[in-house]
Amino acid sequence: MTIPYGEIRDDFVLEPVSGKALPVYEGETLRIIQEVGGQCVDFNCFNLHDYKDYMSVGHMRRQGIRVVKGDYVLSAPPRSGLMMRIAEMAETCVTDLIGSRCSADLFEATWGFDSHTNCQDTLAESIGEYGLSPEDTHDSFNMWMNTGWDDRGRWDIRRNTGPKGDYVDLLALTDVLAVPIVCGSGDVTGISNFSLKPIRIQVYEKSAETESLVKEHLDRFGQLKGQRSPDQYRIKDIKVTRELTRDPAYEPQFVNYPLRFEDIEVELTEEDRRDLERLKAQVRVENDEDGIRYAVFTWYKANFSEPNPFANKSVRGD
Amino acid sequence: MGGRMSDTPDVVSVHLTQQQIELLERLKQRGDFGTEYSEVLLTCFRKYAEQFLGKGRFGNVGSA
Repeated sequence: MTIPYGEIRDDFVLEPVSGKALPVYEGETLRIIQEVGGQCVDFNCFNLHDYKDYMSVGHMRRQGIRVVKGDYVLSAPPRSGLMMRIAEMAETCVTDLIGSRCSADLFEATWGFDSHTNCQDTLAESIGEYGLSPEDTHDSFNMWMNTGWDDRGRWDIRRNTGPKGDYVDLLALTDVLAVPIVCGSGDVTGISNFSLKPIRIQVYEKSAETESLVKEHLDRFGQLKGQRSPDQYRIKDIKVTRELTRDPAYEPQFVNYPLRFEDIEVELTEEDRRDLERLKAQVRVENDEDGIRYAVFTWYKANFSEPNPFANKSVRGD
Repeated sequence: MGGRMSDTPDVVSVHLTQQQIELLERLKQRGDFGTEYSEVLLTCFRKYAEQFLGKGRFGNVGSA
């Protein structure tokens, strides 16, 4: 490990196919280990103090569809919280933030199973210990899930590359309820090499070094005005009825609405014109105006974007 | 541009949102991108050309 953790305070094995919801407190580290090897792991994560604040795989995808060491577990807007940081992850752990958690309907529709192990039900059974319902499960952060995707988003499953002993360390940047589970699909889909195996879970206590690292991250990335809390919401209460009814008195307050526009005239030199024509030959823009807008704001984004886990990480790194 | 009269100004009107103007304003405040939004737009356009169209007319621009 690159930074020293505290003592191990929890160490247990999740047999196939099971899971466990467990608190991991700020500064502590959750380690997920391949006990045998080749086992896909699904993961959910909640703010321990507010279950409505939970992991958003969609927003984690801003870091790429395959998160790696140094990337983050993030919560959904409007909270946009830093939940955990991937402190360690071997290259043999291929991650996937596109594939949805498997569910009973999948195995019934595809293979005709009346009953088959699946991540939805395993997650639901795990979080039930904390009073959460099956509807509180969310898209999984998939680890050791070696998928392939084409440009149309169609996918295939490849051999699981995780050897015995491989591990992922997740440093808690806030108090979380972490939910690692053994993926239940791997015996028939091949995501776990057509067998289901145990995984080991360990929790390390915080150390002075991890506390310092957490503070560093929160100081740097936890101070955005856009990271909102329920006291800032117009509607603060959690809805308790399932039926949706319209509030006729409600008036939406859209951001910067109505939007204002301004027309700016620019006079091009002959060299500017040649450049604009070159750009138009390379990029599918509608007209001169579109080309200038494209150039200006592409350049701005490439040169004035602050590296931040909440910002899009593009191929160019901007 | 083919067919353009050399004494006719080549003017392009660029439609921008208030949010895009806000970004231009930041550059205007720096002082080295021009004093009018039209100048800021042209400066950025030329820096794009240098960085992405492989030109060498201007010096490199550091990241803010």
